[in-house]
Amino acid sequence: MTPESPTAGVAEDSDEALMLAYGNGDAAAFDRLYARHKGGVYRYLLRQCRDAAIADELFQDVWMNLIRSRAQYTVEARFTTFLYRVAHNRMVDHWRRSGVVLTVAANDGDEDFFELQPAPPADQPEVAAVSREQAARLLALLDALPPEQREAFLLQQEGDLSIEDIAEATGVTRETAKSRLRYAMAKLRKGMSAWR
Amino acid sequence: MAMNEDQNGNQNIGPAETARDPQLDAAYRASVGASGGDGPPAALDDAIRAAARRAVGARPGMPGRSFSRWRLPLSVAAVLVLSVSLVTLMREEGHDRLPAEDPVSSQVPPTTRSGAPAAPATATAPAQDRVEPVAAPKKAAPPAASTPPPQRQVVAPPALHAAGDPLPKAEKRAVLERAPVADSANALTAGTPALAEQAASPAPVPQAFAPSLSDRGVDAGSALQRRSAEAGARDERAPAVAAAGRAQERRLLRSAPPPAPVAAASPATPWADLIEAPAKDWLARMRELRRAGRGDDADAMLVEFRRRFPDIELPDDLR
Repeated sequence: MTPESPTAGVAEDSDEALMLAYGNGDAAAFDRLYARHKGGVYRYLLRQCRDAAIADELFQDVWMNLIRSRAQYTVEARFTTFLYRVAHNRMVDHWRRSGVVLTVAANDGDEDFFELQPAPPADQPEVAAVSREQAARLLALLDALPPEQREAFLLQQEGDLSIEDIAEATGVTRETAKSRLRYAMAKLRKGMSAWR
Repeated sequence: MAMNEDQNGNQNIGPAETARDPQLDAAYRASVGASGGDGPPAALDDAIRAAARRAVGARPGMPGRSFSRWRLPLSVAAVLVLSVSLVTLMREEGHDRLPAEDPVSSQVPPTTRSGAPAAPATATAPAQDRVEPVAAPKKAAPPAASTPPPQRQVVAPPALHAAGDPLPKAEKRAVLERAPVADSANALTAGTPALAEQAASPAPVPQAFAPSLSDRGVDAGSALQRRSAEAGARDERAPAVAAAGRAQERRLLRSAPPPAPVAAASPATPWADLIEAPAKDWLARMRELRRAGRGDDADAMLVEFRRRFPDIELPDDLR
């Protein structure tokens, strides 16, 4: 029985293959990998800390950690899961150093949350395409979410992670990740219902 | 009342509640870029990419690992080439300069150096290399402007003052006569400021030297007078040498043979007119002196007669 190659079952142009190639010294593979994911990781960090300078610092730390751990990388999960787990850990470190305590209320304050959201203008014409105001409204609703629910939604949007991937990236159970994502999406749908 | 979110109960959470909502997805995609600053700064991009390249040893615009593979051998080769070139150059230059720059070897007599065993640089050096150390002391002690160039073979004057004075007197005399004035002056005044001052001012040595001869009752000493005159002439060029010359003349006078008892051609002598005369005239004169009662003059003339004519027998009347 021959041992399996590290790249066995990995598509040639996949994230995992690129990361393995970079671990073997292929700098161009890193460039491609970075180009694919730099935007998602940056937005994930920026929309949680809401400070561009801090986001820059965290972003650099995430990729430097990736560079340092290139030789130890093995394909045990999706690359994006691995990447966002690194980003999540860095984010949690930042919260801890900033003295932010992450707690979640039982009902997540749903009633207060929806009462605080501004109502859509009554005379706004309906548009088929998503307007700039809708995007701004969504970002406002996102900022108002509890951090864990916001993180779950961001991981789904930016990293295209499943509930299982979100659970793995954030270090929680699948049910916890599912609950966070459910609450986040419910609030966002409710807040965006005026444009539906 | 706060509860763990796991305790909220995921009962009744269907797949539709966590599935992707197209409208939310569209709204979120629209927010990307609308809020601005959705991507990292270009400088941060460059820094991260550069760090990634450095981590694997790659450089932009270079053929990857091929250069790093050759970096060490190329460096070693360059260092070796430089080292060999430097050593070769230093050997060539050092071979030319070593004899002239070595103060110790320049002081060693040529015979000693040429006889030294296993001295490849000296043995293979050209003849001029052996001559050069002789000229080296010129740099250390430049000659006086007004003195003639010294003759290198004379080193006797310092030896005359050496303890024990091993040279015989005849040799000393010869050496003194051969010794050039400048060398004597240099040797005598070397390290002696008082003598150097005397050398700077002329001294009337000949006048002081002449009475010293007459005090001894020496009449002629013509040879010595000539020497003193020559010494005086030298003293005019180098007055300090006069002192040394004087002392040497005194030594010569002491070692000179005793003076003749009768002066040879004094005008007061009774045989002054008989210098070139034959022996019979000398005998006739002596008889005249005896007859005239000048026995002392006759005796003195007899002594001179015997000195001048030792082969002639004296008549009985004059004995």
